[in-house]
Amino acid sequence: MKLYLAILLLFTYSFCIAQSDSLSTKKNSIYLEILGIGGYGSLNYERGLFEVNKIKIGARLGLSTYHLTDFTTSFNPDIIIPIAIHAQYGNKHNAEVGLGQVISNIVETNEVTFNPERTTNIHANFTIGYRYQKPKGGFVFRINYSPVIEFYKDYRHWAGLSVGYAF
Amino acid sequence: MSQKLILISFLIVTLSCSKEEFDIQNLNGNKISALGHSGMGNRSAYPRNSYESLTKSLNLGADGIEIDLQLTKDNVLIAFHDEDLSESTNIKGLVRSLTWSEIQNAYYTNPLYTSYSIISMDQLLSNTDDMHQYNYTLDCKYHPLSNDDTQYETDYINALSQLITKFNLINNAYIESQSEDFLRLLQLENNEFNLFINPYSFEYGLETANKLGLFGISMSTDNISEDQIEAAHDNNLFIAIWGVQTNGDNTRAVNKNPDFIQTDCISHLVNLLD
Repeated sequence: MKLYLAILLLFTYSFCIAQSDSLSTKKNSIYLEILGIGGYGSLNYERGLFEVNKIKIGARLGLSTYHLTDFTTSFNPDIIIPIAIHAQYGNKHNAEVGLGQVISNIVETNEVTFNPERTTNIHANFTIGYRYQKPKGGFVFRINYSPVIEFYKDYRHWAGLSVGYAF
Repeated sequence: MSQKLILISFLIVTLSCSKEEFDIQNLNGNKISALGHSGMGNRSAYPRNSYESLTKSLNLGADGIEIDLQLTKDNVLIAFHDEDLSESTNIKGLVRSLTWSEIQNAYYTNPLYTSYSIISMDQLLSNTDDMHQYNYTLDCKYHPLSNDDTQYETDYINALSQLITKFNLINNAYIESQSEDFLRLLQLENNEFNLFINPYSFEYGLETANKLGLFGISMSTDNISEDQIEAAHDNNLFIAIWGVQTNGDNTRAVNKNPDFIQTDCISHLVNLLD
């Protein structure tokens, strides 16, 4: 699992260094995803890494939470970080696939002390869907099927819808 | 023109900040007890009846909590809503067909990436600070394995009675059931239990509660009017209302003058009644 994450990050980094000049499409986008791999919703930044003809590769980093305060009402937010590599094919209308990880750091109850306790887990996901984004940037719309392999154990059907801006 | 705008803005802010006043008249000392429905309610990211949900509700200022109560195969009372565990957890089977040790390691499957546990009533009460300052509405979910499971009723009543005795909750526990027969048996077990019938109609509830000498009637807010609540109070019956899902529902429910409100929006109700 850790090896998988390391390879993913290395892959992302090497593309950033080597290919960032070759893009003709707007490289950056931010979007709000409803449901999706962030859980109930997430705010995401995506960076275009590589582009050949109509195929574009990008990396995404997001942030999400379920609660800002824990059950004692102290500020103690859940943290959910979706990370993914996306490939899209098309011009304005794109088919999109992606593969990634989600790091979750959730506050739950310690089974012995019954006090709040943080637990960190890693989960896998992939996405397949449609993306609307003009090469010159502007409005971004995504809709996808994005199942999650929760705790690297349970396959969960899931879906997401994103609205954002490319620049 | 700009002065008018400033004045209008000031009035909007002032009016939106002013607290609503209620003339509460009920059997509960003219005070409405605010209870968290299964803790933080159906709209929370915490699963219903989880320790996190129940405890957060109390920590936000609730007067108490409504808890769905079920009995395991080895007669442990747990806080859980669904009859079948597969509806909301990672294990399959009816609650009554599994032992506590089989259920204890299960976790709720929603929301994604979490693993909140199912808890027993013993765990909940043992880990609730100042337990006796709160009210506990125990909604008895009655799910025998078959119609001839006569032992179920006896086991359920024994477990409930032992729980109330162990934690000295006779004045804090309010027991709800849809079954007239079950309430009758509970009354035989201990006539000091505070019993509520959860009826299909107000008329049936009023008749049954009067006939059995119950503590009160528990009804959905959609199915009971202010006049009916007043009629129940005239019969010396307390009223608990549920199905209160929004801030607007909270306000409408308070205006009906019940004695207890089980709400999905506990923070709002606590502030409203403060």
